[in-house]
Amino acid sequence: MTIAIQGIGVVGGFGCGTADLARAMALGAAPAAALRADPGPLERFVPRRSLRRLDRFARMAALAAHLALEDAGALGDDHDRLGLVVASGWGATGTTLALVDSIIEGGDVCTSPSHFAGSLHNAPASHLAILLGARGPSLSISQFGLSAPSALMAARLWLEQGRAQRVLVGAVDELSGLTGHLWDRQGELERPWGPGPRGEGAAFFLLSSRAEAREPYCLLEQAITGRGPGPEGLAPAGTSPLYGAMPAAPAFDLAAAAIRLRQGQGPERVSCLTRDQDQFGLVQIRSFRR
Amino acid sequence: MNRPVPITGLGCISAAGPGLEAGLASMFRGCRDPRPPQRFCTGHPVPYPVFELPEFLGPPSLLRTGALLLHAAREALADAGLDRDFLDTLRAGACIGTTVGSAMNDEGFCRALRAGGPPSLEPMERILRSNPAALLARQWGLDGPCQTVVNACSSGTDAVGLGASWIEAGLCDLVLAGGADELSRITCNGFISMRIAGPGPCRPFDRERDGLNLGEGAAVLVLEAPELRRRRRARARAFVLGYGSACDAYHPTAPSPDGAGLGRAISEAMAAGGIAPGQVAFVNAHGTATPDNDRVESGVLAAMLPGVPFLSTKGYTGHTLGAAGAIEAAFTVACLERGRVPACAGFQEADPGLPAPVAENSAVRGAVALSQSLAFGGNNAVLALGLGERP
Repeated sequence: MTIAIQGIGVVGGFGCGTADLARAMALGAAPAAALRADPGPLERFVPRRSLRRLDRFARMAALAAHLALEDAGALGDDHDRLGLVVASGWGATGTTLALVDSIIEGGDVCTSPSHFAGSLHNAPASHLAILLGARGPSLSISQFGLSAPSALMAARLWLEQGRAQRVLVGAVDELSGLTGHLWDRQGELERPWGPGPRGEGAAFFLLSSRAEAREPYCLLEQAITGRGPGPEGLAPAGTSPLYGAMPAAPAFDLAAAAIRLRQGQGPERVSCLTRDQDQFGLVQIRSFRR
Repeated sequence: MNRPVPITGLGCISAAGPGLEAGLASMFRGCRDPRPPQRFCTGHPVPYPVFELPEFLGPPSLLRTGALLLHAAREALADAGLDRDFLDTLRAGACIGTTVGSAMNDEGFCRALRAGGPPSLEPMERILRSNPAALLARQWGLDGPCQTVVNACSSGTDAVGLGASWIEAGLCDLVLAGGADELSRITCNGFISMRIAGPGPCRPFDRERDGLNLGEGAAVLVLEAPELRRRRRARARAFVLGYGSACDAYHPTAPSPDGAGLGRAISEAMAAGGIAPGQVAFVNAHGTATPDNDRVESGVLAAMLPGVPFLSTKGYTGHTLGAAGAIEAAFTVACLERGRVPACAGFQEADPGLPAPVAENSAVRGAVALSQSLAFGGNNAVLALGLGERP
C-alpha cells in the first residue's frame, strides 16, 4: 500500500501551523534561547470548558493534531476508524513534577489524582480520542530521540494491515522545570541532547492510503528504526534552530521536509535520519507527483 | 494475523513465582500473599497491600523495572534455546510495554530539584538507561526495531500484539515482546488517590470487590517468523492468532459503561485469527477487582462469549500495570498447555446479574484462549492465543 501524508499540524517556538513553520524556514534560525510553544489556539477547535482536564503537554499535542486534520480538510470527518499514535521522549514532565509536588507539600494522602492521571504517557492520546471520537487503535510510544520514527513505523503498519482507515501520528515534548534543568546540565549527561536552543512543541501528521488522500504533501515510503548508524552516506536531518532541540525534533524535521517537497524545493526523495546513542531511525518521503 | 505467529519461548517473574513454571504451580496451589509494601513506606491510614518481590534485587545502575525485564528475558531466551551469538545473525526486535519504566518521576530527584538542587543526575540517567526496549536491544545486540509501548495498563498486551504484527509484516525474524513494571511509591500513591486501590486482598469479579492491589513483575515472549522456526526446528509453545485494540474515546480513567471498545477489540482479535466463539477455551480477563472494570468486562464477556470460562490471575500477582498483559499472556499459554486454569483467586460470590468467573481449579477444553487488558486512556487490547505443539 502506498501511504500519503495528507495533513500536517505543528506548534512550536516558531508559531502555530505549517504557514508559520514555512515562514521560519524561509527566514532561517529563530534567535531565541528557548523556544516556547503556545497551545492557546487550541480554543479555536475545542471549547475552553472541554479543556479543563488537559495539561499544557496534552494541549500542545491536541492542537497539532487538530491542525493536521484541518490542514487535510478532515476536521469534520467521522473518526470512528481513526488510529492514534502519540510519541514523546520525556512525557508530561510538567505534570509529573506537579504530582510529586502534591506529595511533598501535603503528604501521601494529598497526592493529586488529576496530576497522576495527567502524568501518564498516554494521557494526550486519551484526550485526543475523546475530543475527536477516535475509536480505532491507540498507541503511545516513549523511545527518547527515536520516538517519532518509531511512531511513524507503527502508523504505517496499521494502514498496511488494515487496522485503521487513517492514522493521526505525531510527537510532542515539553520544556518543563525538569527538562529545563536537564538541558542546563546536559554536559553532565551520558546522552547528548542535540544542537539548537532548547525547544518544545508538537508535530502531527494525518496519514492515509494514497488512494484516499486528497492533496497529499508527499508519500511516506519508509519508516524504520534499528541498531547502528543507519544507511551509509546519510547524515542526520536537523533544522532544530527553528523549533529547538527536544526528543520530538525528528517529527519537526519530517514536517519541514514535507513542506519543502510540496513547495517543489530540493530533491524528489528525502531521507530523514535520526541517531540516538547506538540506534537510528529513518523516515523516507518522496514527492507524490512522480 | 494472516499467518499465526509462533511463540517459542516464555519467561515470567511475578509475586506468584520467579519463573513461569513456579508461578503457575503456585497459582494452582492457591497461594497468594499480598502485604503492605516492604521496600517503601506510605503515609496512608490504611496499609494498602501489594504483591511485591522483596527478595528481588537488580543492579543500582538500572531501574528495578529493567532488572525485572532482563530476568524474564533470560528465562524466555533459554526456553527458546537462543543465545546472543545466534541472535546476532538475525533481524531481531524488541517491543516492550511499561508505565513506571518510562516515567521521569524519581521522587528524590524531584525533591532535591524543588529544594534548589542541584540534584545528582544519576536517577535521571538510570531512567534513560533503563528504557525497556532499548535495554533489551543493548543487552542482546538486537538490531531490528525497538519500541517501548506506554499505553498504561494495556501496554504489555499491545506490545505482544505489535511485536506479532512486525513478524507478520516481515520487519523482523524474531521479536522479544512483553512488559515490565516495578512497584513505585509514586504510582501507589496515585492509585490510592484515585480510590481504586483496595484496603485488603483483591477480589476480582466478586460482588464485594473494592479495589485492586498493585504488583510488580515482567514477562517476555519470544515471537519468531515461521520460516526461522522451521529452519531451526524450534517448538512453538503457542501461536499469536490475532490481536485487536480499540479506544473507548469516553473518559481518561474510566471504562466506557457499554464496553464498546473492549467488544470491538475482542471482535478484531477473533476475526484476525478466524476464531468462532465456540472455539474459545477460556478468557484470561483483565479483572482488576475495581467495581467499574469488572462490571464492564464481565458484561461484555457475557454478551459476546456466553458460557466461556473466564478468570483473572491478578489475585495471585496483583496488577502489574505495563507488565500485566505480558504476564497474563504467558500464563494463558501455560494454562492452554495444561488444559487447566486456576481458580480466580479472591472471588467468592457473583455480582447479581453478571456471570461468575472460574471459582476453582478447572479443566478447560479447546486450543484457543483470549488474554485481554483494559487501560486508563480508554485503551482495550486483546490477544487471541492458540495452543502450539506438544513437547
